[in-house]
Amino acid sequence: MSESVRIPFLSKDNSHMNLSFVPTEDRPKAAIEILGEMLKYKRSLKLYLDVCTHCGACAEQCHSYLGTKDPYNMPVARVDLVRRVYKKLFAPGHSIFRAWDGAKDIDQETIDLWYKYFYQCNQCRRCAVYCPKGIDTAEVTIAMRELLAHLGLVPKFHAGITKNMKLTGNNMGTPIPAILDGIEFLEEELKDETGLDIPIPVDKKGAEVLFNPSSSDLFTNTDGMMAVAKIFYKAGISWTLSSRITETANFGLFFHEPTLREHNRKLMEAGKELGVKRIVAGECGHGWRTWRMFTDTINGPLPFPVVHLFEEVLEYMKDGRIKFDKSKNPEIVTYHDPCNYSRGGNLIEQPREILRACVENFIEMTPTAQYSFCCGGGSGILMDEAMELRMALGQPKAESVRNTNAKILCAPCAICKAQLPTVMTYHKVDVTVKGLSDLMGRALIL
Amino acid sequence: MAELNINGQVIVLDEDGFLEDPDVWNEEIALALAKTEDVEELTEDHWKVINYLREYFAKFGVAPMVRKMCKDTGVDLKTIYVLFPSGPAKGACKIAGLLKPTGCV
Amino acid sequence: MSVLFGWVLPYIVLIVFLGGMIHRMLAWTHIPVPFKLTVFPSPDTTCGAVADLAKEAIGFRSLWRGKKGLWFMSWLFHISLAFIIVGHFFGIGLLGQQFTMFGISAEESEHLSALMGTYAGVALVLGLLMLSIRRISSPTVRFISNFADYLALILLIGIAGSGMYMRLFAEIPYSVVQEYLVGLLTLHPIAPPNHPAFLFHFTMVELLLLYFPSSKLMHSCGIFFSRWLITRPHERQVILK
Repeated sequence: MSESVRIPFLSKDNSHMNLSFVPTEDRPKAAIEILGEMLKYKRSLKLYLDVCTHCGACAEQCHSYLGTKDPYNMPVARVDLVRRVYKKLFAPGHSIFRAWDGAKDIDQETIDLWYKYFYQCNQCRRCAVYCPKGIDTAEVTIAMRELLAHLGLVPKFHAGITKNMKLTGNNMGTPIPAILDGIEFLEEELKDETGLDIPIPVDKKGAEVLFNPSSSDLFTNTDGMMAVAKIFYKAGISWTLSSRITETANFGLFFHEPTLREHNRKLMEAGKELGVKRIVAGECGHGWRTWRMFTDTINGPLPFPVVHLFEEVLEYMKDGRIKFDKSKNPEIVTYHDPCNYSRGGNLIEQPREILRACVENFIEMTPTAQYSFCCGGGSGILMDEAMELRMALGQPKAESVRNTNAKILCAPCAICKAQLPTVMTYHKVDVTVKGLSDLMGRALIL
Repeated sequence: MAELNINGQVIVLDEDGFLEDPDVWNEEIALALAKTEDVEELTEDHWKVINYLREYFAKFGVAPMVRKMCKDTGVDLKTIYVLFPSGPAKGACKIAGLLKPTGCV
Repeated sequence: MSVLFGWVLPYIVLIVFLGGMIHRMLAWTHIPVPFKLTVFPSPDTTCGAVADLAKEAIGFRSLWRGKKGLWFMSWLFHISLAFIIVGHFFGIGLLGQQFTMFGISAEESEHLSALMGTYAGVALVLGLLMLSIRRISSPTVRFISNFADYLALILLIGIAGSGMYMRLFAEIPYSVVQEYLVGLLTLHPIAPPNHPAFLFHFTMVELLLLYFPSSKLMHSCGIFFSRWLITRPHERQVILK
């Protein structure tokens, strides 16, 4: 496979992540060193390489295999690409036994296959639900993408986003003046729409809540941002954004642990600096998983909790601070569980409770909740050059939605919002994608 | 890495077809980029959007919020998709010589 | 029978098997787990997590969620294997007398014990055959299969097959086997019984146990380690009023 036809396109500059390019001929040796290191500090990696029995139960449950029909996209086959090198070089036991287990020397073709197939896994962890051993293939994908990054093999898409994260604290690279300009505009829009002076505070010290939106909420999904402002206003909660971090997503999770840690710490520091009582995470799937599951490991005991917008809204509903008018959302609405909300973040019942309160006609799709299929864009597989792949990855989801005959597909995750409209159009499913904030904003009684 | 050849001048594009260097942009380049987006000619409405984008980009270094762009130019989102089939981020920004908006968009 | 085969080899097998298993498990525990990997929904308490592991180990819950056909084949094989292994303790250790505590006669207890063993043996062979057919005939499963996957099935079919052969055609009195095994366990070994089917069965078991710690059969222990990663309860730092 030549360098020029690599999908996704390779980044030419990873210096912001302190990553350099290993010359092609040195890659196999470097890869072995890195893999050896990882096996010493990631128990999940070693266990999963050891414990698989090749039963194939994962194969028919993976949307990547179902959609692309490429046998290497079976979770078991994907991990076997690493396992065969592991068996050759690191696994215990006599070499003849390891040869029977498919041991194979590492070569350039293997590294090419790693890049090709570990960027066809959405890290959705559906396989972990159906694997008898509980093997979480996403852990292997994350580790292997990090290994590839150390070789210099990073998608241009991911490198660009991590650079923006470092420079501006958001994925889009929106600098502070542009953020403030956009916020000012949205406040004007809110006034036009409601007649009320609904603020979107920025860097307000001593506020009760620091809200961390997706940066796309300040670019394309502005309905969501306006809805959040309305909710805080009606609930009478003092809140603020932070100009130094307007990104609840964390692309470091997908392939680069130092970036994961740095971005996570940034949010904690912003919260401490502003002296808030809690941080509320916005509509981002993997961002939620990171904030909920990884934050205290990275930062130690937290000075304040990190909660999700939906948990916050449910508290307001319980207290009677806000009420919804269902009739404002009359269409048939179905709900897409972002992988990292359901399997990754234990946010299954909460969005449903809110939906039942603010739409008239909510129906579940099949499969749903922790069994739901990934949208196909997970782990940042959103680049244009991978469009054909993305449409194949989204095919099982498209079928689930088609069978509901819904008019609105509620998908409360920024990556899903970027991926699903194209997937639905491509597979000819007539549905509009909306965030849950959008639906809440429509139904909120001001 | 593709290239545009405009009256002998070679303009370098990145793999997504956007200008490698936004500073070299001019109206002739816009027309050439439009052709790569299956937009055969640039009408007054096209230029309204393009000029707005250029101005915003010069001031802030990024593309504007889509809703704001629609409000300020008076061109609604549906019309944007008619004028620029790839949409405001991938179509209009490309022809206007901006950097490609990245992130969850 | 030579001393090497009858006496020395079984001890070597035992050491390799037990030592190997323990070594593998210790190797896993020595590696840290940097982050929490829970797959939700998941229990909040350690009790709940242990219950989940038990449900998986006994009922094969995750397979039940997927394709019921594979669940049936796998569950039948594993459950009958469990019965057989436990049954060997009762059949050889207690010579089938375990049911006398319910008040039935020694002869009836032995008969019942043998009957249960026969049924379990049939189920085991059936399960193994179904799994083998699946591995050979399904294109997706063939794609992911190595020699080791076929070898495990061959060894097990050899063991189960020779066991059933002894049960149906070439019975060996359990008291003779008991004498031999007790001799090994008390470090006063005697010569093994001169019974071809038994020797084949016993040798196949030894080969399997020698191979066990280096093979995917370690999933028998490993499954608890790997499932624990996605099930273990963790405390979330949230203060919601």
